Amino acid sequence: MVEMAKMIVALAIISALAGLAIGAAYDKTAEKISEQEKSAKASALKAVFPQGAAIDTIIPVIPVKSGGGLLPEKYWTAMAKDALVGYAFEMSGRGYASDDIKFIVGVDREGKILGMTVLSHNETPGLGSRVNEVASTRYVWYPVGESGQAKPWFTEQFEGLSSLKPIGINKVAGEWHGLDEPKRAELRGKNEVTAITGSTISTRAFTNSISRDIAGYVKELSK
Amino acid sequence: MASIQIVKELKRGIITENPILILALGLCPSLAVSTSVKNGLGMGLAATFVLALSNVIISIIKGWIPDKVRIPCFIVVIATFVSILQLLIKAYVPLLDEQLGIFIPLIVVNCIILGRAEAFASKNNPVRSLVDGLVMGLGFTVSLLILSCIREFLGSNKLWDLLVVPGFKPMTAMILAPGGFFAIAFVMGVVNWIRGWEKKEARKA
Repeated sequence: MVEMAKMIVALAIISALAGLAIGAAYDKTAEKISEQEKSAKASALKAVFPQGAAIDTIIPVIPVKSGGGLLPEKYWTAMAKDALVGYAFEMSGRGYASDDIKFIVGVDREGKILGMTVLSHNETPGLGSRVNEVASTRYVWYPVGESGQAKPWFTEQFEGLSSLKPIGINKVAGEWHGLDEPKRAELRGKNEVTAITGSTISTRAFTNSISRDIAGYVKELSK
Repeated sequence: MASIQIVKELKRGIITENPILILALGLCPSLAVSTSVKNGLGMGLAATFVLALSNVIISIIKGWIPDKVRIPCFIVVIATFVSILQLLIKAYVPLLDEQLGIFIPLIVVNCIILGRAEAFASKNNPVRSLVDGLVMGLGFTVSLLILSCIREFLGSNKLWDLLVVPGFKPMTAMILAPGGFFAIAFVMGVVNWIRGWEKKEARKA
């Protein structure tokens, strides 16, 4: 009996101290973390639109995703020279991890994808995590010179594709960063992207949620 | 005297009691993150940090934890450190969070940390436990680096994200799970072969 009480007390004390420590750490960092997330989102938004466009946040009057209305709770518009360039939507798709992949897609008024940026993901390191990989063209023994593309290749290959038609996944062509221009044009013609090797499920998270949601959004907005 | 001690401890962590290659602990995180050198180093350093700190705390509180509930207590301590580490990195070094963020939750289930808590920190004083945490973490990091060099080169023809041999067509299987098993088995085999050979030499002498 005494032994049992001792165990309970010890576990209770340790859990309480641990809870206090995590609570204090959370308290100290929460504000800073949300600031970081906000600035990450702001730069992600800039990246999906052409340079210099003025971005506005729009909260639809009827923010319903059910029934007749198909708009998300929040989206963004970009204006350049007083003309509407396009819209951006925050999307999420189920990849391989239990947390959804969150990303922002910018489309023009005809539903053509202008740009795409991954906000957060929890995919397998070395496989699905390559959604953010910047392809390298430099060699180990000569790591200077051309620094490769600045954009991650996986999201770059979506640019110019139509979000109104389903986007196909090509698993035989190899990864996009290794293809030459004619091959890339051929994929674009078929409205296809290349899969990340070993991570088709992560790839599918993007194509699925784009074809599930964006066509509806664009149709609703062009009314 | 002290420097001899340090060399001895380092040798213990990296060679004679190497956590992955000799003790065969922490194999699952090793399989998952040894796909590239960058990932391997990141995971190694993050785990070392948690290992050293949790070893110290566990060594301090070992006296008043009832024996029967020691494992849950250790896990609470480890998980607390991991959570705090994650919050701090997210708040103050977002760049590091992008690189390491996905590994940090994996550290909780890294059995090297629980293994060292149980085998070492719960029986030794805080200073020795800190040293044990550091050298074991270093051993983990070194083994991850060896494995990830092999896998990143064979699997994607790269080292530290830079290309290696022009025109070499990499074997994708090496960066997938089977390649991880091959690489670990191969390195373990080499290590055991060297150890067997050393023993034979010692017997001859």
